[in-house]
Amino acid sequence: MTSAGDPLAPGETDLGAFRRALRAWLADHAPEALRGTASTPFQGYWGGTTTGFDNEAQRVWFERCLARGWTAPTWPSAYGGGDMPVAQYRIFQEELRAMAMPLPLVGFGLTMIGPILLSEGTDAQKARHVPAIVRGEVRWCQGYSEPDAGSDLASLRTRAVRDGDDWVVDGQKIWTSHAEKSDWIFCLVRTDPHVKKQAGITFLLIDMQSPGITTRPIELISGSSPFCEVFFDGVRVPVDHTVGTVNDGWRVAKALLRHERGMVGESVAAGGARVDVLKTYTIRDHALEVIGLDDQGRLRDPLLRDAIAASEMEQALMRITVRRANDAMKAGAAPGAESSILKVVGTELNQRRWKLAMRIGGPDALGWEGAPYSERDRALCRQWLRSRGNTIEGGSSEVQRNILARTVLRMPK
Amino acid sequence: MTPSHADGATRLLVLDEEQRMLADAARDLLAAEAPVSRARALRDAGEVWDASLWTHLTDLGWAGLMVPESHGGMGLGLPEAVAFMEAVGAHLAATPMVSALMVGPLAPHLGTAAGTRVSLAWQEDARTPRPATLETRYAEGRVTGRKVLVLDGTHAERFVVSARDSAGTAVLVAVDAADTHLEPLTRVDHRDAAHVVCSDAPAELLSGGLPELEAAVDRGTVALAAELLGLSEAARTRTLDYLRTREQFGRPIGSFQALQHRAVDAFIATELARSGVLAAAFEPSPRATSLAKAQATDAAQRVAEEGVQMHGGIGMTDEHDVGLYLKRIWVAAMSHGDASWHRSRWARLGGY
Repeated sequence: MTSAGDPLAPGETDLGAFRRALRAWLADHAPEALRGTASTPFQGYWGGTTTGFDNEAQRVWFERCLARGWTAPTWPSAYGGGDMPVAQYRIFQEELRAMAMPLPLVGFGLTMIGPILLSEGTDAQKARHVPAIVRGEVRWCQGYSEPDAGSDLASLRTRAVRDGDDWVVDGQKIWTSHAEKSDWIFCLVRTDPHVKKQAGITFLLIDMQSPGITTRPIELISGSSPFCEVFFDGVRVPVDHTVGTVNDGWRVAKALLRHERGMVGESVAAGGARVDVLKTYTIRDHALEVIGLDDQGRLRDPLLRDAIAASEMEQALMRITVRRANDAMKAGAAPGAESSILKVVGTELNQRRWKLAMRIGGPDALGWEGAPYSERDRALCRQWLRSRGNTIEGGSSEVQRNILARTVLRMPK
Repeated sequence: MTPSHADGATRLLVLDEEQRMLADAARDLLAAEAPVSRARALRDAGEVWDASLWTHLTDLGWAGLMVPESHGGMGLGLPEAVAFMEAVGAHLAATPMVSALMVGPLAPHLGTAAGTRVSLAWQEDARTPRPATLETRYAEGRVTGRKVLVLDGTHAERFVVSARDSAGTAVLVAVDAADTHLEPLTRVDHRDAAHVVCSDAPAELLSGGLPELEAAVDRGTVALAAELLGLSEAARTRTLDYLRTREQFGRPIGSFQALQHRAVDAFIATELARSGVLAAAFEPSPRATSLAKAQATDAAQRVAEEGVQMHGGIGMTDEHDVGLYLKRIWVAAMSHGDASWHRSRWARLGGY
């Protein structure tokens, strides 16, 4: 893969040399058609058997990165990863972001189950699943929430009962993103109903092709969504698909949850719009277009002017806070208190931003479908409705505040 | 301009080892020389500033934090200045540091000795904190005009005064305090501030004009934002301590979710203020300055109000320190423009 003296090799300790070489490599290998197209960490090739590449450039970019182990840059080369040290990986992310290049591969295999398997999985589980994730062959989804287990996730009731060499799983998961497009699901299931709720949970890997699994898409207030319900009816799961030990699933899952919360906050703050027509949207330009300036050069509506400034300013503060959190890590410090607020701040400011966009749009922003509403205004309305969920998904704002009060502010129980 | 590191990355928004040591030294000094009890004692004695603390700050060099080394100062920058100001706020120190930071870089023009107290007399309209709103006139070595809300005004020995010359160009002049008429202000924080009137006062023309003036005012604004951050952190820490120890209904009141969530919101506001202050110190610009001041102001006012409320009845008494924080926060909040002023300035700079 890499020859001695290759500044792109994992052993390269001169980070300046690595960055220069990476820039040169990207100049040659990043397809023109993809440059400037990425605005959230979720954009890109998701892998799996149910959907292909969006376009030829995406395939080329994926394969060029795969050849270097860069679809999963930090993972061990034994499983097809790039062995990239963390310091190099930060530069890798910075340089892609600077070009607005999508990651070569995205999805929950890469960000969630892969890291769990690498630290908790058996050798057989790692050998079977990790290379398949790296090569984009298998798409994963997450089965945690249930209709009666949302914020109180540990009260989940989907049951797995041992029968010979199999678990038999019965129950229902909800809010499973992209379940119908996924090949495998990682699940928390109840394996002991007679102990403290956290102590009777097991972490299972389940093939979505197993008999007895059905999925149903969920329609949101904003319209269609990637969320699904997943129903399990006597689904047989080999016991060697258990991650960690039986009844130790809560510990396995907790590390992942923290990861997910950070991702939601950061990604919504990074722009939040997942709709093409809103990618370059700003509340400022919208207000200039529909409200206009007075003869002093100020927005005609002084209350909106103040609200727009406040919104831009809190977004700027969020970006600075993300940078502070990253910089503290770069400087070798443990993540500070600032990183703990990102989920709450990122999601709540995103909501305020889209609500403000609705205020600016006025009655024109209320269109659901068709003429006379513009594509932009309709998308804006859907985005506003969707943003209401930002403070619910990935750990509600209320749960986040409970956690912050106890862990950061050390408030008594 | 964004300073770069050798590997091509932008500068880290984190205090380095040396800056952290400096901040620790500042905190230790102020904890020893300017505990909050001293701020209270000065107020009760009718003193608007802490003369002996200033002597310490002069002897140790802090008074010249932003004075160039060539003129006997420390020659440090805004990151060090905000670290110092945070400690000033936390301890309610009654010291003319905001003024010292505003005029520090102008020392080569002033030619004053280290420790001389110089204040910047720049504002003319109490509700319009814009340096360019300027009616004071300078001609032939004389200056005439009225400056309002001059920080540390009654104990300044000299003033740097902004004015317009006969061509209408903004200039900076130095005026001896003895040649001015002062209207001292007794405000809720009981610290030094005054309106300053110059009537044909002898004035020495300094080099520098509107850009230097605006930079000096913005430096003061960032210093005030850092002071507000220090005030917020100290008031917040006291309030959290109270929530952990005060018991009602047989349990610590900090166990109640209604108070926990509000305490979290005060914490979030303060962390965002810290982000704003760090960015304004490391990468100064007019927009970054307004970002820092607006958020530091909003956060501090929220912390102060919650601080009084969460302390309950004792929080309303003069005996408790939380009220001192509330008052000091409001004066810093309204100095150099409050939060809505800075949001308006942000909008103006953004073309709307």
